[in-house]
Amino acid sequence: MPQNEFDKLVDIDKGFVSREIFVDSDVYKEELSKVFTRAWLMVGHESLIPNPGDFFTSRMGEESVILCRDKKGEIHVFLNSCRHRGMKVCRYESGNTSLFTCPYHSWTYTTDGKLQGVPLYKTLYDGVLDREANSLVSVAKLHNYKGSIWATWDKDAPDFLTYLGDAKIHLDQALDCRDGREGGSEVIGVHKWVFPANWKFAAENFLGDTYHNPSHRSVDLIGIGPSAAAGKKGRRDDELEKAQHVWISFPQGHGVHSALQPEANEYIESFMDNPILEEYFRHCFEERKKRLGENAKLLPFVGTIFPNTSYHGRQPRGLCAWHPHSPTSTEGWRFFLVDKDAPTEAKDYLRRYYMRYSGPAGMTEQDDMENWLYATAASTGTIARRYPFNYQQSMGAYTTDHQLGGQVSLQITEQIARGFYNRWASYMRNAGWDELLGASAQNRQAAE
Amino acid sequence: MINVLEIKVGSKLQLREGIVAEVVENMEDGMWLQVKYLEVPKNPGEIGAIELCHAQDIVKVSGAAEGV
Ligand code: FES
Ligand SMILES: [Fe+2]
Repeated sequence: MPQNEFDKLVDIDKGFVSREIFVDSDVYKEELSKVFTRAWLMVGHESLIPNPGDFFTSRMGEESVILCRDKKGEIHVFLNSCRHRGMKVCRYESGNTSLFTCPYHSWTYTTDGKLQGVPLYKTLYDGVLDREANSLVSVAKLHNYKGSIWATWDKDAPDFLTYLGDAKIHLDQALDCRDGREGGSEVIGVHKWVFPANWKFAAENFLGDTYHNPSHRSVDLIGIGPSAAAGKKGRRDDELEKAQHVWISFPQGHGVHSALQPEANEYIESFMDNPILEEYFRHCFEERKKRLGENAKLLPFVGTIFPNTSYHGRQPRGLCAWHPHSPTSTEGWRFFLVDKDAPTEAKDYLRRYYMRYSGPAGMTEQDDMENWLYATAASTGTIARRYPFNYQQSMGAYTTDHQLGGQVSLQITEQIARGFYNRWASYMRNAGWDELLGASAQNRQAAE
Repeated sequence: MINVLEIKVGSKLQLREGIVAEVVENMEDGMWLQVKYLEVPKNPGEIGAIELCHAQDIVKVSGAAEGV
């Protein structure tokens, strides 16, 4: 597709995005080679591989990768494909091993990716096969960010924190302990399922599409939140009821919906169905306030780190990966998070609450999926494709001089989605990293 | 056929290409043994090297491990 075609498909100034980018197979193929080979992607969490030899097979784009911890305890991410004829070297979802033996002709790799064993090596390959040069293909860069593991295939990609930019403190809200200590999270379960929708529907939903709130009306009426039995209906406790909500578009394509607590920053009762949890979370809230001071006012809701990693920051709490399968099919992964040192009772309670809310059987997730998959199906037709999606909500309603950085909106907005697709178009045009990180057009021209 | 699962650490092996090796670890996957090369007629420089040895490379088990 010609480079400037993507600017036609994504018209940010007028607020239209073509349906083609959600259904067309050529666009999809280009996405795999231009977005998913360059951007930083979340592949898992260190708590899934705590011991030497532990592995968890993950994905980057459509491709299978092995996240593993070698004998020395170092973490690696490798393409899950043998260097001989490409056989999937590891066919398990997770486990522990000292060697990855290819099922086809038994080439065997150590947990640091080295090709170590080759049957009949001395007889058939001696002096010819360079084992070192036939190691498993490793990602170009890897970063362990507060336990979450990120990787990119692009050796020229900026380091992960530069990539994250000002979205960092928002992602931190999902990864840090509830009492404000840095990091310390643990995955208590992963849900994986396939749904018939383009991956961008899910990514966009978590950028901060608060406008779709009414689609969850039935769940809210039933009440599945941690205080539902105590009479507070809803799908979660409204811990942000006194906060100023903020919707932020970051230049790297990330977007978040967070909230700033008022000056007093008082605890709002939550987890009322269980006195142990209510006491525990109240304690965490007060500790966090003591530890972080002013910074404790920032609380998370949701966000998406470009392109396909999303998070839920509090109720529920977890990371999501939206793996592309085809233009109209996505594999969703939910990594449910708790503090590693939370009481067992809290972990058990949260696991059940998270499943009630999210994942293939989660009531809230089902509402969302129903929208994504019917929207995908109704956008594949010849006539339907002629009409772009409308992204004109809250045009221009943002400020760029807020302390939180990025483009900050104080009302529900599609500015975040516009920012996301604008950056998506940059990737599709093969833009350099300065533009992908958000250097303005003028800066770009000056640099050229 | 040699069942490598039964080969103990310390056993001496006669391998293809005239190599003699001693088992240092049984990987217990029915396929691989970690061995130390004791004799490598074509390249004596490799004596002492630790390598993975595949079941197909074993000609015969020439000596059982002592006291095992
Ligand atoms: S494909 Fe892996 S050993 Fe041949
Ligand atoms: Fe939703």
